[in-house]
Amino acid sequence: MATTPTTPATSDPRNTPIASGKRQILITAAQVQPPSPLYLQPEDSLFFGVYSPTFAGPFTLTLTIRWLRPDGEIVSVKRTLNCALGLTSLTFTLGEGFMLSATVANPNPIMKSPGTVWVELYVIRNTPETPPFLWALINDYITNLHSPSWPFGRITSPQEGPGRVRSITGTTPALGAEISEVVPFDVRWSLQAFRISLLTSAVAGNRNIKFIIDDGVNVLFQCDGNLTVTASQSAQTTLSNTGFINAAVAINTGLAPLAPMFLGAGFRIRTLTQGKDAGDQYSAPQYLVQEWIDS
Amino acid sequence: MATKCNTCGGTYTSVQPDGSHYFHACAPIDNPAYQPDPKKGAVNLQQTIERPNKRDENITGTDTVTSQPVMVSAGAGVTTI
Repeated sequence: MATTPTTPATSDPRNTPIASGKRQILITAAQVQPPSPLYLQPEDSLFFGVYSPTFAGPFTLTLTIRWLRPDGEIVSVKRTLNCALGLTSLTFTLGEGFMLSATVANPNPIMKSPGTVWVELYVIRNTPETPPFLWALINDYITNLHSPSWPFGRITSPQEGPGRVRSITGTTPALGAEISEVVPFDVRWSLQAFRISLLTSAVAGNRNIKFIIDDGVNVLFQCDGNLTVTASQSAQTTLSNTGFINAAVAINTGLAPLAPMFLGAGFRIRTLTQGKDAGDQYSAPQYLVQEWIDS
Repeated sequence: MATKCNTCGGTYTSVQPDGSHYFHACAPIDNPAYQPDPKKGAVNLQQTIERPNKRDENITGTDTVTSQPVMVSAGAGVTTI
């Protein structure tokens, strides 16, 4: 009587014998050493800082740490920081153990672009012989879709990469006054376009609009719009880098050329109007910039 | 809600629609001593000068006591309109 042949075992990495030679690297399955390079002692602290020079807030960020205790347990440590304009920071100590990872999360839906809010995480230790900041773990912008993390995040500087795109409504000056907008403290701008409107009084005369960029004191850029505005007119002029048009492209619409340049904190974009009358009224300028933290 | 600067009379909104803070600073004013022509005597090429008691809301640091941001200069203050 014939017997049924034995069915060979199906191929499975778990039960397939190793046909080649022995591995040269052996994996330890007991008394395993901690995997992280970051062993912290009770004297070490963590500095969690958030810097927002122009984003008004308030907003909340969460730092989550995977922490391996000396008894072998991995616990999650969460620190929440309520942030506002300027620098907000938190210093804390976790005791002795191994830091496995750290991630900063942002539940704020309005924070869409890099260039807005900067986060940093440092290992610090107060010793008289060295500065307290011993190791930068996180230095990065945070957005809705980008959560800076350690160890597989990046250490960057705030001037790198694309900035925050901002459309800004400036100050409406008083009657007869000029426009002046200033780059905020700790911020760098790349100016893309700057549009103004001028409503002239009934007093006869030509008004010629100049755009000036200065460093807060010294004028470093000056150009004229191509539009002459007469009495009782409403004129729009745009400072932009699209080139110069030698004649008005439409009734009471002018252009002025803008060289590509970065503007530092305290730099101003302003107007200087030849033939201005005390009854002339500028409206609030609307301008487009790309913004980075420059601290 | 808009704000009016009591120094220069300019009006602005402190928080922009995108959540950013707007830092007002008063514009310079015409220099009454501006005189570019050497034939007419002492030349003064400064077309504009800073407005007296100007307001500049830009932040220079943090108050060590209150931990609140400190602006460059408050000028004559503001009025909410």
